[in-house]
Amino acid sequence: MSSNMIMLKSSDGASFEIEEAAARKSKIIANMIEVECVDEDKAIPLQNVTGNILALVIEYCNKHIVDDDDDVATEEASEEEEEAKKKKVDDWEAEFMNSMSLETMFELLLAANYLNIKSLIDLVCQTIANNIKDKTPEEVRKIFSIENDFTPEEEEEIRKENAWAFG
Amino acid sequence: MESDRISSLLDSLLAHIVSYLPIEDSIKTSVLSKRWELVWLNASVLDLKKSVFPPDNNKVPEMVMNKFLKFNRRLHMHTFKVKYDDHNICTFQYLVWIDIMINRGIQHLDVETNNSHDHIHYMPKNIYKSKTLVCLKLTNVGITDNHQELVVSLPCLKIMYLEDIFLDKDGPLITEKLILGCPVLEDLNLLRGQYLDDDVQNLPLLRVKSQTLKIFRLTFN
Repeated sequence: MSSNMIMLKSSDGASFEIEEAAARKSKIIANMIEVECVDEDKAIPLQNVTGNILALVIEYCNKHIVDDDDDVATEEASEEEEEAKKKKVDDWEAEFMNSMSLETMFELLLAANYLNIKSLIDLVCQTIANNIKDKTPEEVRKIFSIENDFTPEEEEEIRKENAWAFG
Repeated sequence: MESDRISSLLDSLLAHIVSYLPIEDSIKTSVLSKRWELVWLNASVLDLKKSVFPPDNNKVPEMVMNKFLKFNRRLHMHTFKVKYDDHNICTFQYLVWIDIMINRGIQHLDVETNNSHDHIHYMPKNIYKSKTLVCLKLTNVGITDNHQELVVSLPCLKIMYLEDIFLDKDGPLITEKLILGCPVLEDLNLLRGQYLDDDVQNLPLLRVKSQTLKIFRLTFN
């Protein structure tokens, strides 16, 4: 993989330089590179992503490109080494997600979805799911500011149908 | 949070989020608000392996599965994980559900039973001809009751775990046939194997032939 640098420009005008290999984590950008609509001197404009979110996306891509590059070398690595490496990535991801608010998480999810970075979509969705797991519907509504628009009768009806799950 | 960001996500992203939840939590999201009522039915993952279905009510898994299969509108399901035992009256239903899930193009199947050798569940034959399966884990089930008729073609399968599988004297041949039918297999785990014949001394040798295998674990008793 070449270490060509490309430029990305956020919706609020901030420019970021990123290795092509890292930028290719985004299927959208990878496609642009494939069909050669990336001009070396010109930044790729990303209309739907603000600078602070794009910085997070790039941090994620940079971290993961290093790990993917290792793939060839680690084919003969032992199982323990593989596990240690996986744990390192998991720890980094946990720390990365821990450091942001739910608000930022949603922005990041929308950006990952727009840029089509599958592993990042998975990571954010998993983290959001962790905020729902083992909680009562009341707690989940509170965490995410979800307004309950069911009438008490409607809600009761749904709860009755799956009473076992509500414990 | 100030405003409800989560409910304004695309349907596909909401379905993706609930796909990470155990079935109880995923069903509970249906009462959050009207936006959420049907979200759990479009999950791409159905994991009944760790679920806490009430032990005294066999109808619950049946109700959940029937509703899920009826309303799930996904083109392809991703994962189906299930664990059951022969105390459950509707066990044969599980075989029907596995069959349906395979036909819906799942990539990941994980089936485990607690059945004893007088109550062996042989897996539906279409499992071994799936064009989409990437990961197959079978625990304490039977592969086939007719070795001659077994046809294996798993063009995408990379991971195969066979644990405590019920086998007859043709067991090694069945395993061999499974491996030969997986042209891109990378990770193979064979754990024990429960032989139904006493005469295990005269079993044919198991030959593991694969061009692509990276990890192979073989565990005896």
